[in-house]
Amino acid sequence: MVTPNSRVGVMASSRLFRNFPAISYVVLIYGFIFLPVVVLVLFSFQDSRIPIPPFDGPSLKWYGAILDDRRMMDALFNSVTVGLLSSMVSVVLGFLAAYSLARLNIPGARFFQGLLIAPLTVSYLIIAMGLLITFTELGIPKSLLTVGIGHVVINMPLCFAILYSQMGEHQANVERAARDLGAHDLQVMLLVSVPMLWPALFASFVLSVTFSWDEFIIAFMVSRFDVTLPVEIWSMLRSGLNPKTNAVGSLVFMVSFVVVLLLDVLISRTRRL
Amino acid sequence: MTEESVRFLDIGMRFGATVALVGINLSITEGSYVVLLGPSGGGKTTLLNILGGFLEPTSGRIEIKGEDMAGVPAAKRPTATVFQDYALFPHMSIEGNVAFGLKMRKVPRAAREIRVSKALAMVKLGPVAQNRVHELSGGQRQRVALARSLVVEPSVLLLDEPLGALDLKLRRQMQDELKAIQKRVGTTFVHVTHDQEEAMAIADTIVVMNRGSIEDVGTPERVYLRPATRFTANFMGESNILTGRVTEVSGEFVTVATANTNMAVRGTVPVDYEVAISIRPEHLHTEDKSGRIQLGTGYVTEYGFRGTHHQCTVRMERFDTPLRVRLPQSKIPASGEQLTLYVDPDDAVLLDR
Repeated sequence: MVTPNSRVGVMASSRLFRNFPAISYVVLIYGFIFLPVVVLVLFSFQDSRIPIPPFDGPSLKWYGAILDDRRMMDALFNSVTVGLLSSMVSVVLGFLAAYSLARLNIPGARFFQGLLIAPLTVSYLIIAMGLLITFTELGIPKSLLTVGIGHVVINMPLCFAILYSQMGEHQANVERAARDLGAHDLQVMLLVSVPMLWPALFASFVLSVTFSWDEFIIAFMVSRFDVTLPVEIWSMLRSGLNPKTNAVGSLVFMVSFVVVLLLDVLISRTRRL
Repeated sequence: MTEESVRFLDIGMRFGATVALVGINLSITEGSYVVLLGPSGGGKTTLLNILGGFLEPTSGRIEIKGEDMAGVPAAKRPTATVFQDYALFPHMSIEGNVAFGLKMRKVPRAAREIRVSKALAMVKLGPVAQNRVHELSGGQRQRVALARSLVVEPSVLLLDEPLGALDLKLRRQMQDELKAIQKRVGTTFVHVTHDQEEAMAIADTIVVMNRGSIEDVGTPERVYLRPATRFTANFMGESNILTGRVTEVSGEFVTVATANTNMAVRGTVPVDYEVAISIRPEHLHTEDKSGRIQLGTGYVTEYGFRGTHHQCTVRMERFDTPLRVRLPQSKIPASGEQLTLYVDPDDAVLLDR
């Protein structure tokens, strides 16, 4: 009775041996990607003042310090506000652009489509510089509003690209059916197009929020007194490493992780329908 | 005098340099079931889209119940369309789908509910009214699309290859049901298909279309038994085409000299014209009877059993193309077998072109 089991064991171990190069490659790759994050999170639980080995935790005191830090909490609130509002604006503008380019016979539609997606290829640094110069020229003071505008500039092309790709022939036909049954343009858009695109609208909104949440360069260059979380973290880093920076970094990472997980669950649910 | 529902007057349609429709003139009688039949690219779907208001024709005019439809958008036309992919609203229940058109017409809630449940009962979908679209089978979706369009009581219902996505058995069952529903509601149906069996089974009138123009219009019997053109003869089932020259004209008949024999067929063509005659495979016989004329002899090159008959290919002396023949179930052919073929002159049809 032992034989079959041990045979399976032998087979499994020989397969493991044969696949050794592949497995070690995978371990190395994932190690390379995730080791910095693991180190960051681990030393956020450090007990002493310096986030380097040996690990002497676990302790939650640095998380407590973050929550007590008034400036950090203000920055967190600013980040959430800018993220939600700029993403909403990005989704609405992206939807309207995609809807008109996909449905109306606009001359030069391909050109406008390219023009809308082009910012995706420009580095954030260049966009930030352009925004800074433009705001200065126009006399618009640097504030959270300008940060929000900057985030719309980077996220709207993304929302447009996602939504445009979802407005295929089938959906066009369903809209045609609605029109045939007597719906006028606004009714078609609100009663058919938007509900049918709901998963894509939500996905592009969530992606925009995560991008805005992590964005540093634009937020740094076009903000002044009120800053977002990444900018606040950066000014904290200038005074040297301590486990508090690790703790706030871990928090930022966790929020992004949860949001992306949420998005993934939503997308897999929609696929099943 | 029967009332006219739809009238196409010299409709032409071009997409850039491509000509999709040329000189379409057609009248559709109120309450009839009309099938536009033809191969893909024949222009039948384009014609349907023009009628539905999804395309504006480049020339000509359309009248529905005597009213000019120029510039009237789909939403305002007394037509409703059953789309090929059904185009149901995936985010609504079945009931929601059927109620949509009535909501757009601001029909009060109470009246709406009655009409929706009646429409669902007609297509036998009452029990699944609350289900979502993705929970239904292909046949059920087809019925939802039908109920959704019929509930708004259009003057003309347009069906764009409505059975194309269904498997053969379901397609035959649905076509009977479509016909029955049409007879019950009395609405004019205009149905597009490339399936000639489907067309014959449901149509009151078949309109055969090819390359953007109408080849033939008539009842299924007329179009099948006395096809007007060579295209119709070949597209509606199988046909043998014999060519010959007119040698004599007498009254309603002309005598045509073909490679093997002289045949008197119904028609009016002047002497010396080259003409074509269509004979259906089931109209070729192996035994002589009074009135039948001999077509000559040939030998069997291919044969196969098709359930209702034996299908044979017979190569005839002096004919360029072999003839297709249907032999009765009891007569089992053999390869190389000599056959003498006869035809009733009434079954031979002189084609216009």
